[in-house]
Amino acid sequence: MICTSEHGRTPQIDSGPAGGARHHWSRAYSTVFAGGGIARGRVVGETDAQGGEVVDNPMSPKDMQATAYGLLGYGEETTIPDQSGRPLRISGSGRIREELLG
Amino acid sequence: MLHLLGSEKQLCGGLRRRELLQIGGIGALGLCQGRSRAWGADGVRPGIGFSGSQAGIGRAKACIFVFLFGSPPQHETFDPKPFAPREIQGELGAIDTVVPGLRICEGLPGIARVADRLTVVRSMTHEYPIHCCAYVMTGMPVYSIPLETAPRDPQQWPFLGSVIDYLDAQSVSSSPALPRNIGLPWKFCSRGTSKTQAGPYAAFPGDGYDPFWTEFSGTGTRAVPKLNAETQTETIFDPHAGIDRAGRFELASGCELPAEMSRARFDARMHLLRSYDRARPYLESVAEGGRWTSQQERAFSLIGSRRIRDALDVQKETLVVRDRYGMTLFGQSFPASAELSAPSFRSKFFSVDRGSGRAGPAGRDAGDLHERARSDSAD
Repeated sequence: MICTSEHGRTPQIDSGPAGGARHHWSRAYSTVFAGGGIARGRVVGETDAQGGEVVDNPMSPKDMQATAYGLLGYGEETTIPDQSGRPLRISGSGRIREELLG
Repeated sequence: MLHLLGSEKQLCGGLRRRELLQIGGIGALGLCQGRSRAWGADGVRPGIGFSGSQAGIGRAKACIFVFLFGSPPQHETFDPKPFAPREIQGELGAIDTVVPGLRICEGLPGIARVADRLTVVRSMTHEYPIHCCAYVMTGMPVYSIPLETAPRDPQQWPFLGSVIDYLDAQSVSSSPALPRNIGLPWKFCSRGTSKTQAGPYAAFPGDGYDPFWTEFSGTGTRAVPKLNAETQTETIFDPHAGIDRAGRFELASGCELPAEMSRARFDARMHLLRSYDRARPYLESVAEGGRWTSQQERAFSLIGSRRIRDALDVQKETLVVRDRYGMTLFGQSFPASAELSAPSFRSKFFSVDRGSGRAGPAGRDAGDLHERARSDSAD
């Protein structure tokens, strides 16, 4: 199981007349994994004191995909052909991240 | 006729003239045919398997991909900052979990109790602070705002579920009786007011590898404010906030036999159709013909299948379990997903999205938190 999203939210809450809000922010966000070979009870990576910048172990959504593919039996060098038959790696630049594995 | 010059027309492989010319040469003329061959039994197989040190890590039988479209804040989920200034930490505090040292937002007490089964990644990062669903669920290298609402753009790449569906299809000779790539609760962004969003689509392997979407039938039970910019004058019953217990997931409407169509009559019609197909051998010889046939087979197998209906039927689960997941659209997606990912089931991939039940400029989605969080996220 992977629980993720397309980005995170700004550390600073912007207080407008209709109420406070956090705006779009992709420099740091969280994702949760479970089961199927994923480690248990582990925290990977760290953000700064404001939760705005990654200070340890940055992970891209492509790594998330590569790891999922790996656990489902398709290694990170697996390719599929695009419209012109050019082989493309299924997770693009993603790499299987050992720190997620149990 | 194939025009190499002066036409903006897209070719069957989704290529534009410019791209075709870039590839160049007479070989390009064989592209369409080449593509259809590539997906056939005699085509080039993609490289499957592991290289070197990663051999043997495949341990997952299925993947449930829970996509919180709209983006919840990291602070109010898995990366609270209880020692930060108030305008950063927000109004919600942090609670301990069963994992010593791991604290998460106080709004997630149930997850805190099972944290010893999870891996929490707090260092996800990329460079596009836009609703780039397609970027995070595909291998595509770059993204831009116009792609957000262009799911069929040739620049799009296949999403995880479609990749698995396609790769699995290369290793078995017949198409599966049941879809491997299922999306709940309904077609991504098909309800609500937001535009179609790119993301969970098959892209270049062809739309036969798109997710098979369910539909939700049920009513919302809780009135939630529709947050307008000025005043909150309207309330809606959003199924994300609560559904009645009769709510259920179903096959898309085209997969249900009409009441007046008996099974025997359906079988008789299938028999007739097959006799037509036998009389049309050219179908297999034209490009895309094979794909049409396999999609048709899949559609008919779904019509006859009780198994997927049973798996989707959350009413079969005990009320205790259903209540534990929460009697909401989102909560009830999980018993259904768990059933579909059972070892006996062939299906491999599910996407549980926020459901696109967005009510308005700042309607409820994963970017919004419950009423306690005054730090509701911006659109």
